[in-house]
Amino acid sequence: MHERADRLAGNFVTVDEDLAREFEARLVESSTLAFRVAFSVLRQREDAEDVAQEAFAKAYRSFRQLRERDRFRAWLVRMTWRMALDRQRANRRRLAREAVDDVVEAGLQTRLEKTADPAIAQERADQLWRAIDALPEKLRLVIVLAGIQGHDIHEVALLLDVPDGTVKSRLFIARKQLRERLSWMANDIASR
Amino acid sequence: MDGQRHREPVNDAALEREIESLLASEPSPEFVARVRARVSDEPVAVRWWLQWKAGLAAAAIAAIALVVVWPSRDRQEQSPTLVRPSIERQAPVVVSPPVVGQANVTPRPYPVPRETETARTAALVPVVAEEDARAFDALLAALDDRSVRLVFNHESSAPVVSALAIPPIIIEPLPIALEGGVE
Repeated sequence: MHERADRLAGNFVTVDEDLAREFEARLVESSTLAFRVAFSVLRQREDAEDVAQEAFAKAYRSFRQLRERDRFRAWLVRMTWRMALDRQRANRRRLAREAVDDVVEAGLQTRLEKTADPAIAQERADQLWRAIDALPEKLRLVIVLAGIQGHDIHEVALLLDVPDGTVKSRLFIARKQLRERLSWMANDIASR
Repeated sequence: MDGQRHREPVNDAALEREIESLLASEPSPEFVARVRARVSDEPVAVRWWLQWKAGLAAAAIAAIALVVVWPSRDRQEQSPTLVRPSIERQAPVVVSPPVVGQANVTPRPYPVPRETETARTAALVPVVAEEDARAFDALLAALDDRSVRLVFNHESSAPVVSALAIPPIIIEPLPIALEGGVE
């Protein structure tokens, strides 16, 4: 009787250990992805890490349904994106209350192409972020995911659970809109 | 110079590179460790799953037990059908008085039939008088309590029905009227 109970408990422990091992592997390979998705929305390292951490905690709670690698990453991206948007809205409300408009910009840390003048690079980064933020959400997510870790169209399609063709067309429209907005912003600056 | 370059129309490759560089931010080295610590506070997923499975199994067992027990209970409810005492009396039953020291036999009150039973017996045609049925029930109750003992007395004289004496039947021929009557 005790032997059977021990064996049964042993099986549960094995299942526990397997799950923990698998989750650890997913965490290691997807931590940067989750962070960057959150960062693309929030532009603040601390906030992005908080949101990505919460997304992993949620993923852990339902990890049995998310053991498959692709499924896990897709779920994680969508969850992190939604949570980051929620956080961004909350931040905006808070900032509006505090009337400190430049906090987000002050926390911005990005690695831009090396330029002679950091101020110009910063200005260019701000323009690009503003242009990305102005995109509709579906286009925005596609352009961000395509820009993270060099994802190709198929990888983005897997992450969003949509056909490759959909990603391709969204990417095309997003880039076109971005180019137009950036040109418009550049002309605006030049005309000043 | 760079500012001038940015004012030129951008192609897809350049735009892609710029976006990649914007997003090429790395989490802090402690990030993974913090996620591990955060996750360790979470309930273990497999145990939740097992609890869910155990709950489902318990519910299934309860449902099966209900299905098995319910019909047998129904049969038990049907079993107390009315038992009519037989009218035939082969040997007289003598009820001995209760043993000294024991309480007197107090017949149980007539059991009030339950609603379902009443409905079921309503269709029956009574063949025994109510007082007889009540007395029989009281007797059965006393027997159950062992306060009454039945003793069969084979020697007692049962009312014997004497043989019927039937006188022989004599059939005489009818007189035939010949005169002026019908032949």
